Amino acid sequence: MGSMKATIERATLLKSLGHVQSVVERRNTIPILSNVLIEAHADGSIKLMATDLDLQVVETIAAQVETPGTITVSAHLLFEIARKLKEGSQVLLSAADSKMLVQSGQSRFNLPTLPRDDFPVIAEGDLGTNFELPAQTLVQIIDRTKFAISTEETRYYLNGIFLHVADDDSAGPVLKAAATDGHRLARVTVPRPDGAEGMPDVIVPRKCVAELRKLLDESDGNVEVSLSASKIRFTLGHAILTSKLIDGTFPDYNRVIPTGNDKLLKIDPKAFMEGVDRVATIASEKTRAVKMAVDHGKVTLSVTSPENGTASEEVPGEYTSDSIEIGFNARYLLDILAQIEGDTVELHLADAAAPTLIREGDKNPALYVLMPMRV
Amino acid sequence: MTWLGHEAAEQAFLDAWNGGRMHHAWLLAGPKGLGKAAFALRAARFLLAQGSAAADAEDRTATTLEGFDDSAASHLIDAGAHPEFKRLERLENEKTGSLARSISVDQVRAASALLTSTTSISRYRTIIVDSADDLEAAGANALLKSLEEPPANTIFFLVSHNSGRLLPTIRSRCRLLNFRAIGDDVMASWLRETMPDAGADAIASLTALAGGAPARALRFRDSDLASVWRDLERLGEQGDADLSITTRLSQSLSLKGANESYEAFLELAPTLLSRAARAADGRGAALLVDRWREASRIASSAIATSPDKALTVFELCRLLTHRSDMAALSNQFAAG
Repeated sequence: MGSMKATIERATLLKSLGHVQSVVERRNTIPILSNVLIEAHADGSIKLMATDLDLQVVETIAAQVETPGTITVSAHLLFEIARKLKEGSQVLLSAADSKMLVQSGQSRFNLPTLPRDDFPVIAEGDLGTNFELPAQTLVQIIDRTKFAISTEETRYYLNGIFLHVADDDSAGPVLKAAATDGHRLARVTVPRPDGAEGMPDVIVPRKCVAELRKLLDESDGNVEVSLSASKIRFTLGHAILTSKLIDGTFPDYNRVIPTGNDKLLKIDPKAFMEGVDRVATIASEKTRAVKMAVDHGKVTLSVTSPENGTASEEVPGEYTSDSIEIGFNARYLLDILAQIEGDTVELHLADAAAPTLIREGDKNPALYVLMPMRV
Repeated sequence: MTWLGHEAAEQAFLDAWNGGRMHHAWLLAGPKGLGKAAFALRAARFLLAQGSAAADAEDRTATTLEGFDDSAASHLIDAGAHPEFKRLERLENEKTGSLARSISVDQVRAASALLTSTTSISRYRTIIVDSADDLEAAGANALLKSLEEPPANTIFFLVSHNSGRLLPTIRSRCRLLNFRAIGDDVMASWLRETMPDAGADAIASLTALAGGAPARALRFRDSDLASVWRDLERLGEQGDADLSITTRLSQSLSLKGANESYEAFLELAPTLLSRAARAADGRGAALLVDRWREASRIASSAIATSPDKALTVFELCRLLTHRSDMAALSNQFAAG
């Protein structure tokens, strides 16, 4: 059984444990997976690692290392202890004889440990593709697409964000991120970063996306992305997130992005969103259907519910084509409108049965497709 | 430890591996106690150690499945923490400690999640179903779906003690590895080797108890079945006019702490009847076969539906009574 001895600042320990323990499943039947791996190195650094078998987070922090070594203890317990220790204190971690002593000031804890060999570590081997993305770009990619990720387990290949590179006629080489649940699609296109050329298409699982997003909250600058056909790794300063990928084929989503929708509605996204939200109040929980009657200069939103009566609202908009009536799931429409930051949103319509293209303009990296509903 | 009776299966598996013709699903079929699940685990240890990040090369000239117990992958398998390994078996109830009646469809679905994500530590995903006989109907269908369209580098091991009862569609997806009961001579000499301190009587009774299954011999080795065994012998030879033996057995075996002996008894009862039936012929044999069938039914439904233990033991004892008389009787009939 390994021995180890190191002293860490309480605040540093707490923050890092906060990061790694969030991947630990709360209800865990496998003891080792409740644990955090603590690896103290002679160079004065400590690695904290946690995993749920699909993804792993490693955080490297500075420490005074007296005896290098590796041990695992309950992530949740150590986090709770660190949380309750005095602010500004130093924490001594000392492992020997299958116990780990946590000592700070007058407090002493003796925690049970499990051997390091039982802890699954995804090797930090070479991943073929390496590139950097600004943290802000990754935030944008995630925030603009993740709402469209499918949660349907039978269509597991839709349970993540699809990342792939392509050569766009107009924009040159690009990196695209797409998510869909079959009812709506979200896609973000950014210039292809150096090093991403020739990368395999990958589907990044929803849980990895969520963990990455949390880590991005605390990071700026660049994120290093490394990937192969079976793994992806994000390096954000002190934290490294490594994840399995979804083993499946993402459908050819380009087929559903309409290119010939010639009826263009330009509208204030805020007013539009508020209107949809208001009339949807009486929509039935099941369908959430809202009807849009688009005419010159205005959109009339309406809902007719057998149980709850009717509602309608007129929102001014720029529109010059033939009038059209089309229905959408209010929830899906609101999800998309919530992504729009500018003053105008474009809805490219064709007919009541055809997918509608929604975007801020052709310069904006994000694009959305929404399937209509029969109303 | 030597693996009695595994030689042919091991060779077939290694031939497939070395030849690069690895089938994605293997059905390990044969009576209980021959080490089918142990074989599956050995094969899993072998597979998960191949092409892992540490040792990137795959050994295609392997001559044995042994030697992987201490591999990095095996540590993770034993800790239940290998990301590419799942074992499906009846779950233990945390409160009562008893086993669930079947392997649920939820368990199968949870294991299938392994198939929809890429691998991270080992190259092969390995799923052991121990046993496929325990799958509830919906679970069997869910498994069938995975067997029909398995992703690359995925190997299933299905343990079955009664493979004739499996869905034919599951059977047909699997390559069959037959495990056969070990003959009494081979068993006895193996037991002498494994337990050098055991006396000749002990070896003989263990051989009888094993009924061709090494695991059964090993299981009975430590449990205190000596008195049960003596009672059953008497039951068979002298009968039990005042029901004293039957009563004693139903009381002692239905105690809370006697679960292991009880389960052993459930296996033992049909075995003893089938031995008696084989020793007999004519009308006695037919009667004993009927009794054996009844005992098997009671024993297997005792596991599936857990009725009152004392009553189950009582019923089985009644069936076991006078079995040697019946065997003898039938011989007289045959002679007359």
